[in-house]
Amino acid sequence: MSRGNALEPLTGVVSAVFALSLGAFGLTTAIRLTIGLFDPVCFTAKYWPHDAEGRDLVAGVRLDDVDRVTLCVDDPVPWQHVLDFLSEAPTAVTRVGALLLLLLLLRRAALHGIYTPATAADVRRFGHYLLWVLPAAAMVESIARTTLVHAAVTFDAGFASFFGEWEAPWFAVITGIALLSLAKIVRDGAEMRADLEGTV
Amino acid sequence: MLRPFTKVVRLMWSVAAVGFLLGVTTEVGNTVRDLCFSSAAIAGGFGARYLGKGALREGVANYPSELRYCLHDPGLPERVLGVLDGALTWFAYAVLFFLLMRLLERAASEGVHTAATADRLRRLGWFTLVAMPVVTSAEAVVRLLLLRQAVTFDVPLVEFLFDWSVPWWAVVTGVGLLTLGKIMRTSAEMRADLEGTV
Repeated sequence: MSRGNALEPLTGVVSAVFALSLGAFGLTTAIRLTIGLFDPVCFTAKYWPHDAEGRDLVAGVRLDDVDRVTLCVDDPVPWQHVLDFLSEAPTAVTRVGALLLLLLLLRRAALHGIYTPATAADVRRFGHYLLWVLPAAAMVESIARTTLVHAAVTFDAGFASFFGEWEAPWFAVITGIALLSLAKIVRDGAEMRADLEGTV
Repeated sequence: MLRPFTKVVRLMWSVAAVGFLLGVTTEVGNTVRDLCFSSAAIAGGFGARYLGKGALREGVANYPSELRYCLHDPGLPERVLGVLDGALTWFAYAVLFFLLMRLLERAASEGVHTAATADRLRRLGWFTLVAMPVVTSAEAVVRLLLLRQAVTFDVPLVEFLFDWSVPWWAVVTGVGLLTLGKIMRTSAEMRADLEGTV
């Protein structure tokens, strides 16, 4: 069977993206743990009413709304630094983790063959990871950000606001469900392959 | 076998198609309402004032990171740009999910491991890889062109990069689909072998 390097464009791209994002994450974390400790802690707040003062606007143009606002705490205390990290790192970490899982999957598939029960299990695991872990990371970030906003304002918007900022990474959810279907197809193919080897 | 996924894709296709049609009809039909759009490009240059309950604590600074502008009584070029903003991505998503839905339906009836499925996967992969980044960046440019009409000072065109979130998932998923297409072609040959030997 002429499988050749069927996995090739993907393995190369995933390796490159993995290396890049790991490097970028390492660099930002290093900066955050050194220079960043002396910088103000800044975070985005959504759905907190603000008014903008526009200038140099053409006549007839008005600023209708402030969609997002950035708040900066000038002298943050340690726990604010921790929350700042928690409001950005989970998505980055879980994305790097997803790329690593995909890379391991591709390596093993290249070694043992694509249509094997082991690859099917790997694809299934990867699908569940995208489906559950990435939305959970986004949820953690939303809670951390809202806690920071609550600490910067003399008003407690209540428990529900912790989830108001949660933006489910729906592409990860859809890709995850797609991978669960793909895992079934791979398992099916593995059986087909076993049949083929049995008949030859 | 493709069961849970097909349902999700069909739902997403309906949502995207309805979103596209609704967006275009309301924008085209609207001749009275102001033309509004959001931009993150130069928002940081403006000041913001907290309007909510309570107040900002001492030592907390705030500035807007995304603003919504409204043009009063815009001309035809602005109206056209206003329709493009939003409609482009809705359209791209509708096409994406339509291609995916047709792929799944054909795969369910004709079989997964066929040369036709492999071709459709490859086409879908190229679409995801090229169309999604192009469309989202085009929309960011459209919003910047609108922003240029809203302020008296000159905003360089490259500022659209601040308003463009690159759809990295589309790049990775697109390459993944291309690979999957290759794999399906190999397995289609394998299946043909199997049928030949039986």
